[in-house]
Amino acid sequence: MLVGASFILALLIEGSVFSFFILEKALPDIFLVLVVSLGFILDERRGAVIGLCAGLLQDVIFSSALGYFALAKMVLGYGAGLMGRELYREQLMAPAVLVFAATLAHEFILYLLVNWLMSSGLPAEWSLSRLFIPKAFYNTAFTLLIYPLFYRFYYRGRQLKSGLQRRRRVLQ
Amino acid sequence: MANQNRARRSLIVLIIAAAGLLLLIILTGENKVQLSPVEDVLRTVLAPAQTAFSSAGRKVQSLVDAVASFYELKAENDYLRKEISFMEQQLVQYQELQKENHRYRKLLQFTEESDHRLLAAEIIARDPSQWFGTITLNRGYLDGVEQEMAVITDRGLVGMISAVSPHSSQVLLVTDPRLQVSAMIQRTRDPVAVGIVESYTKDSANLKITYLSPEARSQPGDMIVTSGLGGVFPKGILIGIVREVDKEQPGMTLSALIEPRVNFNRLEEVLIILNPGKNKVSLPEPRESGKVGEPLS
Repeated sequence: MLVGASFILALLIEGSVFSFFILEKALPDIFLVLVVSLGFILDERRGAVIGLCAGLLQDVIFSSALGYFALAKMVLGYGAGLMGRELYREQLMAPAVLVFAATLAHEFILYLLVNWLMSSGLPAEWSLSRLFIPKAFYNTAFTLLIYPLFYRFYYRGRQLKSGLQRRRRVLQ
Repeated sequence: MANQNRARRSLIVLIIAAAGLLLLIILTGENKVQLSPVEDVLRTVLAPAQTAFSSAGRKVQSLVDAVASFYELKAENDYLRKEISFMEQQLVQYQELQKENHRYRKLLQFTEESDHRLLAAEIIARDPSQWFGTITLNRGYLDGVEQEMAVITDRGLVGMISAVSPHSSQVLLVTDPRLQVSAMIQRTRDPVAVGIVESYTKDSANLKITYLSPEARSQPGDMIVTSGLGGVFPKGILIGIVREVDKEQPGMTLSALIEPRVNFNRLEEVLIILNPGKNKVSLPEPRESGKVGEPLS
């Protein structure tokens, strides 16, 4: 429920509010921040599913063809889940660095797909310096705000769940 | 082992899904003219919310812009205020110069037409203790100014030099009670029409001519000029126009109220007659009888 609401809110904010007052051409991709953060907290399977759903939603709303965002985000959600197994989830630095790297990877995947399938793309150097890197910084900044909320919410939920299970066992 | 199998299965599913998505991109990307029903519904549902957020975004942006540009605008505002102030000063100066130029042109024209040797002078002070009694000019005896010289403008008589210093001189105006000028009615030019022009105590803006003979036949609209008697003022300098004749005056003489042609409130430049010529000064076109009381320039 919270995840769904977050994505809808992100979708609305991303397409409207941000486009007005963010400097330069680069805009933050909160969808990606959510996908990577949730994949990192949960696991690779759920990360991939969330990435796929979020990407499809973005494709429907913003993309000229279905699949661009879905493909990139599904792969990165899966990758974030795998990284979650290796790194400490309670530390904020790990998801921040992960989101930075994931943003560059996300943009690179889209750059390749657009260049390959649409035969029209932006210059690589310009895209990297003016779009990819600023976007990576924006996303990292949003991760620092969003990730702690999801992390706390998820582990509090798990604690409540395990507490209830223990009580049930005691009662039985 | 089970975990490894599970991970491998997940990876395979991922690769298949990725391939499927790639196919989807190729299929939906080519010559896409119409939206799919799913896209259509989703975009329709989200459109009002997007509009609302977009509007909010614009407001946030304008607020952010307003805050960001506050100091810039303030500095610009200060600069523009100074600029306006400077421009206003320049405009006032320009208007002053324009008016001054206009006045000088009139004086120059008058000087060229006049037979007298004239010296232009600027009024540098007025005596505040008396109502238009004396004025100070920026010309003194080093400029050739002497006592009892007549002071005029293109509109008529102003007064007489009463005191002279090296670089300035004082003028006793015809409106001052101390100055009396021998005058006559220009229309008749009759010796019986000679009277004395003096200040009119009831109205300091007007003059009064007294000792007019009843035979002078003075009437409103008559032009009163200097008579030349007494040797101070050259003959024929316009003093003013008769507004009303006092016929109820008992005795042998009449008096009349004169409206001076010179506006003493607005005097800024005058001419000093250094050397009176033989002929009289050219006068403005006489006004028709009865048209008195027109505003003075």
